[in-house]
Amino acid sequence: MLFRTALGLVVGLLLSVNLMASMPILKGIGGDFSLQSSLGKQVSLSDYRGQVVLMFFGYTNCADICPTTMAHMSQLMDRLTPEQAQQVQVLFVSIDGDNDTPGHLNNYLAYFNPTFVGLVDERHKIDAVAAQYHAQYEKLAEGLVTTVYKKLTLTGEPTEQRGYLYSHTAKIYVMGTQGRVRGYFYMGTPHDEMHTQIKLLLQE
Amino acid sequence: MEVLMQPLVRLSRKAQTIIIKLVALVLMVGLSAAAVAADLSGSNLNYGLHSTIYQWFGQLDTANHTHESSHHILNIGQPNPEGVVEVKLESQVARPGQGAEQGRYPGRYEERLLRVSKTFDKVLSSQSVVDTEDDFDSKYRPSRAINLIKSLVYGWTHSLDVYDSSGLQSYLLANVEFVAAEAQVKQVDDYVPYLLAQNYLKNHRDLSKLAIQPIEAGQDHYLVTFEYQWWAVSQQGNTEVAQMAVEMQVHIISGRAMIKTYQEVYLAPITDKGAEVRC
Repeated sequence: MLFRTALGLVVGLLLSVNLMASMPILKGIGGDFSLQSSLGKQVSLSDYRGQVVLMFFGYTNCADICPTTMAHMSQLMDRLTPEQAQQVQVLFVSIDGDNDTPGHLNNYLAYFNPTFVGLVDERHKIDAVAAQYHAQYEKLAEGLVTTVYKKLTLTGEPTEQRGYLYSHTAKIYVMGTQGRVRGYFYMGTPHDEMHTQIKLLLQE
Repeated sequence: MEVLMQPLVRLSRKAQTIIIKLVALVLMVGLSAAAVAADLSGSNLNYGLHSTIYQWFGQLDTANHTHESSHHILNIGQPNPEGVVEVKLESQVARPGQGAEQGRYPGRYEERLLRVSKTFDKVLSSQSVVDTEDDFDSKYRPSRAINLIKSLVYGWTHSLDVYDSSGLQSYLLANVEFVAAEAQVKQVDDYVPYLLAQNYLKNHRDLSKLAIQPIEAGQDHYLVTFEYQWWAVSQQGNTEVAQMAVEMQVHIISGRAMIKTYQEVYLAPITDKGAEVRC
């Protein structure tokens, strides 16, 4: 009996070793920045020191990956305890400064979670942040867009009123409490895994 | 196991539980340390040793004035406690008149035991244990530049890993153009102090994708590119990682490869390609 208990403990420990490893710090990526926000004021990444930040590059007119990812993060927030949730901040950086405004971002993000903060600014400032984080985005030419959504959007409309799409980086940047990039979550990352990693980062 | 457990059986149930918990705690600490160590071990190459051995064969290639010889290293083993390292290689000798008609020369397969100094910075002796003719001829493939440049790359990497500023300096030509990935490192003299200031518990680079190309035919100038997967452990126990690309212009002067220009940049971390770009 005693032997079985001891064996169980050892096996359990062996299995838990991987789970205990927190995300590494990624060098050569990230850093502080300041952008206009949906809060109606300038926001810096350093404002969230002491919190885990989950940052995503997208745009409100995005039909698929952006709302799906925001919904995924909204569900994650629902799993956190109120204390943990207060220590996690989701930032949505709009790559579509031509159309997204701070007010528009506020309405959009409130749909997912009222604590989510949207960031949008002049194009060159967004470009600088995207470069800092090795995030890619590109407005697609009309002819290249072939999704069903796009076809539906375009039907019978004059060119100047046509919809548009961006191709863009679709990962969620995970920043630790010191503002350093620790890795990525994806739209398909299980909530349990995200929750575990966030807890580990908050314990540091 | 029964023998091991017997003393425990005589203890109270509470005492047994405490002992098991203590054992578990010790195991947990040990396993965590092992996991970090495994993460950082990366390639097990001894860069200092590799640098010394490549330099030695590079100089051997250089030393023959009457004929050309080449030594292509296939494998460098681990040094034994006496400092003896087994090196497997292919060699070729291109003597005038021998096979020159077809431009093909016989190759040899060799195994040598090299005795190296305790700090791996000198080859003290060489003993041939296998030296046999290969069963094929091939075009003569020079190896001098490759060996000398590999020695430089391994030596440079070793110096960065062990914080050896003078080691780094020894590979630089005068008026070298130097650009590090870190903005704080303005010149090569800043590199080691910068690393030391980070107070890392461990710091290691894994080399990959080494490529050597001559810049201009007939000159001993080469473009050398490679990548580093860099790992370090901070005082807080956090692992830091970075992917870096390095590009060097290298001149071979007096039997040594020397750096004329050095540029190092951070690369984007490798991630799930499917998540890089979506619409």
